[in-house]
Amino acid sequence: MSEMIKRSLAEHRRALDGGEYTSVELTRAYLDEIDRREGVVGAYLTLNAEAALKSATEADARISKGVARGALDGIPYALKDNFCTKGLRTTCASKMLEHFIPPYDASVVTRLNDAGAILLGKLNMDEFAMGSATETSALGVTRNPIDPDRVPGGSSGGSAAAVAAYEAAFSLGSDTGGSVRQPAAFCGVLGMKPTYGAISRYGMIAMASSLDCVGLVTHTADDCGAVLSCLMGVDERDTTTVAHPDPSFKSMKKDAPLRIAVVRELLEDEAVSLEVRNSTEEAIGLLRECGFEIGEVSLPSPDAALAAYCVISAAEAASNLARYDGIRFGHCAATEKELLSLYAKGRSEGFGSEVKRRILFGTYMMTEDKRVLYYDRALEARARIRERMLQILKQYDMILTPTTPTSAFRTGGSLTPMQRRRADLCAIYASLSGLPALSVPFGHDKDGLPLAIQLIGAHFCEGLLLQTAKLFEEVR
Amino acid sequence: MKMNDFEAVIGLEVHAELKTASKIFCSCSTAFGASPNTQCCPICMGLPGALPCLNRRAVELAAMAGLALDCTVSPLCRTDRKQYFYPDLPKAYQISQAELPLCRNGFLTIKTLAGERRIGISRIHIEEDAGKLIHSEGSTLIDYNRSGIPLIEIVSEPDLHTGREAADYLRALRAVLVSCGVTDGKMQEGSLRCDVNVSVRRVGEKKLGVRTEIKNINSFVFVEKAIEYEIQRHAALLADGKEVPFETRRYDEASGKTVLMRVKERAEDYRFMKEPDLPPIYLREEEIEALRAMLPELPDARAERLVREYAIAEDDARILCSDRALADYFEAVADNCRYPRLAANLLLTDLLRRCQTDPFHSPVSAQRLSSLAALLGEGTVNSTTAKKLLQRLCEGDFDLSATVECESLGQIRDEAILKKTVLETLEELPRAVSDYKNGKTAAIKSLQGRVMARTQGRADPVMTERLLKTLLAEYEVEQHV
Amino acid sequence: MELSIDEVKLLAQRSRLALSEKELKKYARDLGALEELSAALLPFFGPANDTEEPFGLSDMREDRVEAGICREELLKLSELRREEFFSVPCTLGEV
Repeated sequence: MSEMIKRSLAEHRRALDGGEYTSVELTRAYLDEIDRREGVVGAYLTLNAEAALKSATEADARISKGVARGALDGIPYALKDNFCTKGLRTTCASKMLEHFIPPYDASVVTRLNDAGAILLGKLNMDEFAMGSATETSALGVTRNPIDPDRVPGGSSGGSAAAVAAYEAAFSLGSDTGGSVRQPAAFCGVLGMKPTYGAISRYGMIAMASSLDCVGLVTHTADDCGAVLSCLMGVDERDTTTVAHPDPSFKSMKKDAPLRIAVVRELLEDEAVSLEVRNSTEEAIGLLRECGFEIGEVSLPSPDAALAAYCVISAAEAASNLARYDGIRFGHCAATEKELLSLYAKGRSEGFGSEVKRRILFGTYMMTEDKRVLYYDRALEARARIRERMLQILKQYDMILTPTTPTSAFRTGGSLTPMQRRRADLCAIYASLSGLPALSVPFGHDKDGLPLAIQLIGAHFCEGLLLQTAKLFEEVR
Repeated sequence: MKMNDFEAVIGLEVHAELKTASKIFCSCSTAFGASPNTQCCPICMGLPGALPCLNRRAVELAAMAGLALDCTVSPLCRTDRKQYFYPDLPKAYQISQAELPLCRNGFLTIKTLAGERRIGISRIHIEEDAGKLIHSEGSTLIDYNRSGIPLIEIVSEPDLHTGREAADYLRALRAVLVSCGVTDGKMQEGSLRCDVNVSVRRVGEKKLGVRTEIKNINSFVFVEKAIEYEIQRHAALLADGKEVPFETRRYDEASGKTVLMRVKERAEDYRFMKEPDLPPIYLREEEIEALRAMLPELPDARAERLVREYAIAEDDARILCSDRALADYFEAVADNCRYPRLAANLLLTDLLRRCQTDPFHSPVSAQRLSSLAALLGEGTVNSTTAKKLLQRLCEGDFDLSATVECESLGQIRDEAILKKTVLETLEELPRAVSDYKNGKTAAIKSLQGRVMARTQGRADPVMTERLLKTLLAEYEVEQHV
Repeated sequence: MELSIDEVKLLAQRSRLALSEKELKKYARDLGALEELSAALLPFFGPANDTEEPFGLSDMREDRVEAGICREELLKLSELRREEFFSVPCTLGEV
């Protein structure tokens, strides 16, 4: 029974279609595991058990008649708690939305429902997706399933932990500057940030609109491809969505050897642990043996890239969080008799300190006299960096970096400022440029904690990334 | 203080609701008068996770407005967030257009007493409306039905100098926009609202005075009055050597004055940001030209044509063309009518008064009015009778010729009959006669009136007057013995 | 260079946040550290191409009315409902 929950999506599909087990049994198995492990892992904020079992029953009816809706029919999954789910509490791990029950579903939720997937519950995260350890959550603590003294990463810590702990077959998170890739790396699972615009953001509670992407957490590359196929596509409710030019990833198979660029400075940086360095070198060696051509590049203007990311994400986050005033929904300082204090007190009570900090930063950078120094320049820097990345990706099929400079760090501790910079650097180039990036588990450190490498591709080259990830799976 | 020492510089920012079925960024209805908070959705309520989705028709109508006002429509423009906190603004930002608006550099010609003036239009951009606030016993109630209604903001150059000019500009602007179907222009429903910027300076001074903003005026008359009041107020302050403070005011109908709304401590910092959830808008040249081809004949051009084709008075033409439905009706009447001038007259002086609906709708068919004008033009009925017939037609349709015939409403032009009536009248009113003969020529009016009364209003007024004058000249006042 | 407490207070007011003295001091320091970001961005001052795919008329939403969320569902989300309205204390500067 317990082995059931460790299977891949393809295996689940075969088993369900073949009658080896039912969706109800599978759902119960995951729910039991949640029961068993949640005391330590703490990935879930809200469970959806009753509705999940009901959906599973309906899925079973379809499957037994041979009319399964597709690859995901009857398969249980979980959502980061920043995806609006109709009738089911959605909190962004914040006191501001602690009791918020959305009256509508996010587009990805609708797609997954239509595909027959079973929603198990909503997952813990850093408050409003601001953080990299899930430690800013106001509503719960999530621990790394591999080692409970370690953080699961963030902001999609719950998403990575749930999949790693077999508390869901796959999960969705959000990736703005590494927030799916980094926790996936820390928890030893696959984490993908697709091309910006590939998947609809409608109903995903916004942090930084031009950087946010729906992220996927799965065990295998094929699983990731299956979920990606279900979710990607133009959504008329999100006009930043773009049609994927090759939704079945067929043209991704290339005849010529693939060329991969390694970023030497990132590897040799002092912030990067020796184990990460060695493991990454090993991965490079593996690819070389498989016939990949390895080259080297430098990433353009690291200081400017970090600054641009910081400015744009703070400015957009401050803007997106201005709507939280308690008037139409959310926490409200209802006893205040004066309008200004209604706003200020309510927001200060509802938001944690990291959120307040970013709002202040964002507001500061957009003020009339400062915007020329910060926001306007950041947009220009971003455009130039993007141009440079696209140039690199004309000469190379992929760029390879470590996903993070170290393995998961201890709870309550954190990265040194130097390490944080490097961690951000690994992640943000793909975010700033809208490029797809995949964190692939590879290797372990001496404490048994998982390590990972990151592959960055050109726009809409998810297929290539997944193809390459499969090579690592075969070795592992 | 002499008012001639001062001159006013006035600019108008007009907000017009676009005539779309759904809101600018969501599919909620734009229908007026719905019960509060019943035309709302996650998008126009600013709920978490909602994203805007631009309405094609709103962009088309906004572009048409620009074309009708001789603006350049930009092939590429974008939306921006204008950020501020206010309870009627759900997202705490309004999606508007900042540096790259849809339209730029147009103009509108207005006819003033001093001749034609060209008023520059700096820009036209699209934006969303905010919700509605209702003040009630120490609290403010919010209705979000209006949140997300599509607006265009039309910003004029500060080319206006008097309240009258501003009102005329607003009238002309409304006529153009309504004729193009861009807005229904129902000012009492708030479809057209005006913010005024007024500043006053001494004649000859180059520097502009401090401006006052008067917000949310929704009537031509009030625009004129508010501006005139403001100009006086500024001039009085300046003449006293005082400074005009930078204020936002509103017009108070009851007192006829402008009243302080709020003092701005500092200029509002809107922290404009490119809207990341909406891509830039791109209009191809063919699309812009296709929209231009859809423009109807604009009011000024139509008025000129009506004068040319139907020889009606210029003033009449302008009034007719201020309302597209009215102009359409007139043309339907005039099309097969040999007396278009008379038809215009009947329409403007009698019929219009009885048709106060918006848009204009006549209870009298075009054909009927045309026939009536013909009866009048041919002399079959006189103008008094024509007016009475028109009134009756408004209450219910009937065959004109038949009625005139069987009710003997025809004009009396038989000189013999009329002469008899005139003589009888002269007998009846000796005092009027003697007044007239003693030099009070105005006394003829009461004699005319009596002739009309005696003939049930059917006497030919021209003939009547001629006969009266002739017979009065011959008439010997009977000497009292 | 650290920001002054007054500057942070103004910023907090602009962001509609009520901050304690301790928070004001902390954020004053943090905001001061942002100067380096601006310096890092210096070399890039100058226009860059818009990278977004522009949106044409044919891509835009058709002007059609669809049902939204009913009033009761919306009002349920708020603690500040009053009959059919949302209600706040009197707005500033209005009579």
